[in-house]
Amino acid sequence: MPSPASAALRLGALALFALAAGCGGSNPIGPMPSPSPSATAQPGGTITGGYTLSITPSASCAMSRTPITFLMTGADAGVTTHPGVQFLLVPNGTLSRLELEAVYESFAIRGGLGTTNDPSGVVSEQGQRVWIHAIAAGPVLRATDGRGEVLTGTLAGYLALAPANTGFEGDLGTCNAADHALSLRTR
Amino acid sequence: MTRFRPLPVAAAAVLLVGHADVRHSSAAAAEPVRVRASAAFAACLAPSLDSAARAAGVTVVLVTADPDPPQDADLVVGDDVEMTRLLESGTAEVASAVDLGQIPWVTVVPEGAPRGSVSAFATEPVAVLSGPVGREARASLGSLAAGRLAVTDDAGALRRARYALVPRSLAGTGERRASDVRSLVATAALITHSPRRASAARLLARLSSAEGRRALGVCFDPMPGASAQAAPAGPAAVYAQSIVDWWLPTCSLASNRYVDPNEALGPPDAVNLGGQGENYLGFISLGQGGYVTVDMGATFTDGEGPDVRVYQTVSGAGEPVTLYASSSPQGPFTLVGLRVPCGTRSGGGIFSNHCDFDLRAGGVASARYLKIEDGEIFPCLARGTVTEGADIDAVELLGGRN
Repeated sequence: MPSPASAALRLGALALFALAAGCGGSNPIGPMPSPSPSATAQPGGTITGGYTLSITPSASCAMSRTPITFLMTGADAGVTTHPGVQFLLVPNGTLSRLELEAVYESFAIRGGLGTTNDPSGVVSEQGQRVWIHAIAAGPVLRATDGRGEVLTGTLAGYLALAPANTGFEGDLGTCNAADHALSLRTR
Repeated sequence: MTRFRPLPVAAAAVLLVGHADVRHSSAAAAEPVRVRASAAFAACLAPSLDSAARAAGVTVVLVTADPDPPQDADLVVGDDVEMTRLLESGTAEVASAVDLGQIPWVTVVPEGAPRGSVSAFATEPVAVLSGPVGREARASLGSLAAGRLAVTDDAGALRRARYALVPRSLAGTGERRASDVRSLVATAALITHSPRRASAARLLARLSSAEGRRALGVCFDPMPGASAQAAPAGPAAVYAQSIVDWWLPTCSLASNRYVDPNEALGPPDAVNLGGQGENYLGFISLGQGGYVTVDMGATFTDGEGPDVRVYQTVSGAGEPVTLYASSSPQGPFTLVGLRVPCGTRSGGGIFSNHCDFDLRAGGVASARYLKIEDGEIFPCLARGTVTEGADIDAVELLGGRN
């Protein structure tokens, strides 16, 4: 009999596969925090300017499922072997405490979202301290202003929470899951 | 203003004085060697340091605190997750790194408590160690609501807890049950620019000597032998044959020194060339969330136990790795293992550590192409090393190909 962790891994793999196959509008795991794209939304769009990153912990996590949000700035990151984009926490500086580096091609992004090991983590708009080491993926749709945004993405990996002013990483929960929900909406 | 709980800096300091028979030629040499070790290891080191210090002719101050940042330490002792950035940034010397032993995690419960997961029956919060070193343990208790966890770095509180998931060295009274959480590996390394380097090196030599290990063995379990760890080698060994695809973010490509994907092909061959800085050969550093996709040369099937071994360097560093498998070079790729710590010591003269994957965990019956992705996912712009991300030396099939 597979362990719960193994089962979660498989469900997460299914979710990732669904996204890779272009089925990002639905989620086999459960309710998603982001609305489905409208019927008129076109794939693609330029990643630039202000974004709101929203993360909803997986249903398998014993932590609050209230979306965790951050204000980010997105930009083209040039082409290496694949074209890339970069999202940095606002205000950004020389050292980013929350950074997403991702491939952007075939109307989808996929890459690593991470914080440092700093004991203070990174503070969300809700005032929680957050630690993330995870792979973000999702289809990119053209917003009304022509920019690209991710409405139904996933986040696979480590997520830990703590109160803003005191305590340790994980005081409000720690969870490894392949099916956290993620969105990057233009703002 | 945001106020944080103070870091566990200098939570305890023990002065251990060596004998005075050895005369030191300089004042600097007479200064105590500062050893900095995380709580789980400090509890084991303290009794043994005394005799090692005497034998080395030095005095020692042991500070119980996260080894990273090392502050004024001359010698640091920590687990892979604590040592990775110290070693890869050159703050601590890779060439000096020595594994002193390992400490398993145990679940502490009242005598006669029910069997099964402590999450199911604990009537009080379950105490668990804080910090990066406790991440796996806290994640393993992920089904416990936040209010039922007591995360702390207080060794006394951990020992007093009726229910706890702790390294054995921090376990209190009560029944101790084996845990599936990966054992902590105590790696000791010299701080590169320590002003007391010679004294610290003498102390480390004593700690890692046969006599030192005997003393530490009271608390540390020995490292698994090389014979038990090494994969079957020889003509039948199958390693990655060619690169199908790879990607590093622009930021990582610009800052990492080792970025040739072909270094992930063939048998493990990473080496430390020594000298100042980070001088290696034989691997690709994947950067923040980067990946390399390899062709194993033929389709292979799920067998009994692990099917794939990924060799990840360097010694004392266990960056996590994520593995996907596919029967087509274009995918789709199925997740086999998510952010698996890749620090199992390989032995047998192999510099790299490794981690194993079972296709079955991802529901994959057969595959030919493997995508290996960085699981550390540390912000590129905040880097402190030219080897950012998991460092992939080789990919091996543990079974055989069809």
